[in-house]
Amino acid sequence: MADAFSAVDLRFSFGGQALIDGVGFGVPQGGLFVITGRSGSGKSTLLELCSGQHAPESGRVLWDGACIADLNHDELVRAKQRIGYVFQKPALVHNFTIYDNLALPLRYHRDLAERDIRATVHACMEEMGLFNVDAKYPNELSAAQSRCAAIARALVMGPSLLFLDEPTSGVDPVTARGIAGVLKGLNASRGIAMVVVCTSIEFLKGLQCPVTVLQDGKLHDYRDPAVVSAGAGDMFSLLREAL
Amino acid sequence: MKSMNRFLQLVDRLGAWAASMGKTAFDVIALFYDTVTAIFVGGKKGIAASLKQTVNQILFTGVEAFWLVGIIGLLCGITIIIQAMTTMPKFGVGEYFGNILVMVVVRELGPFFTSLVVVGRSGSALAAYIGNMRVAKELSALEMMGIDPVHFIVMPAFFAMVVSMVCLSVYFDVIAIIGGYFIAQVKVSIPFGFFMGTVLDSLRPNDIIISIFKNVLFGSIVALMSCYHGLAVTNMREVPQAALKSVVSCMIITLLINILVTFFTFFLSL
Repeated sequence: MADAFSAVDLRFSFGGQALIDGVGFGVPQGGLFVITGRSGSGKSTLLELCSGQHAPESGRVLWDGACIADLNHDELVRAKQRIGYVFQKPALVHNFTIYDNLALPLRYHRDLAERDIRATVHACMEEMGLFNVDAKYPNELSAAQSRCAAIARALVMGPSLLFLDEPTSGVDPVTARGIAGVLKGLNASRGIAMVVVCTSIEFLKGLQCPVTVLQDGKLHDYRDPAVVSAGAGDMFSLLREAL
Repeated sequence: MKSMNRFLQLVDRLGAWAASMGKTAFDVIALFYDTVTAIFVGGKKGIAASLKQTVNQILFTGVEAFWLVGIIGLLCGITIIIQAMTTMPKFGVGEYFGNILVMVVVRELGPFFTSLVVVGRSGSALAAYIGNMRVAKELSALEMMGIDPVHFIVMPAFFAMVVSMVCLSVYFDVIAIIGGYFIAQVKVSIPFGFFMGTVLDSLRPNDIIISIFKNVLFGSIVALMSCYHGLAVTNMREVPQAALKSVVSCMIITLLINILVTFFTFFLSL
């Protein structure tokens, strides 16, 4: 069975400098791949290349064994329905209620009755600990609730691959651990492969998995989960050890 | 040598400006093509979401502008009716005031003043709305969900602007003619039945067709230029600039289009 995700020799430069310099990695079905690094190291850019938002200068990105550059428009739209992406900002449609935000991809891509859409949306909301927010707008939610709503929206289509860019940015450490626990549970129970970019040590500790560091355009180190959870009291120490 | 260098610099800048205008025109035409094809490509997909966006835009562009268009229409109507009824009889052409009202209000002022209101209110707001969505990554989120932003935002805005322009322009004409008549009774006295009979006798199908044609064109231009400038935003600083560019470009283009249409209808004797 093909990997859920593969990146082969990705290269991308910005302002004349190589930001991503020959990066390659694979995530098996149901796998979890975590990338960390200093600010400005290109983590978000790497995730954008992996999710097809930008085209790499060279290299290939494969979702479920299919190179996304080779897909035509309709194939790419169908492929995007099997992946989810959580942005660094919640990126919820600001003039739609939370319910309508989560229901949007279902209304666009699935021929479901409204009661089935409601059931799916509410199930995802409950999974992310969101209650009584259906009629609220994104600006009425707390930072943690917005993050959870964004993750719930990414889960609503039942993806097999999830990209998460700093899913706990602006969230307190306790909530960050909680979100990590939920994602870890989804990864284990539903077999959703995940590629996560984060710089939160609490989130990393909550994920309990190897960590890869992006530095100078290359992926450098795999950190033993025991080292991540036991030592390195802060992200600076972790990065200093790794680099 | 210095003047030659300055001349070459000027030519260089003119060339760069012309190339930039050409690229903008090409991009807007491409956006128009994508907007029109989105209707047929999308099919039933997301029709509920698109309809909701369309209704919201009609409410904002059309319904909420009623009071402003009404006031401008009334003031225009008063001015034109008073001038027509007091000045024209002095030149022995008093019986043609109906024709003047139809030509000036229905064909020219209705579409033009309505477009100014829509550009100022809705064009700038639409450019800022889309620009903010771009900065907040909402458009990227839609693309990652396999939802085309042109289908979700541009197409509903396009339809809403065209429908609102046509309806507001008709409303402007009615308020200008009828409302202006009642206020103008203070200065000139003329039976309402005679007044309306003269105006309706002067109103030909061509006048209505040309008015609707202009409104459809203006609504399309406002929607496309506003969406284009909003989609071109890359950071927060550019959002107010996009709103301003949208207003300026829409006003210039609608004025040019208005003159061209008037010019051609005159030559074709429509």
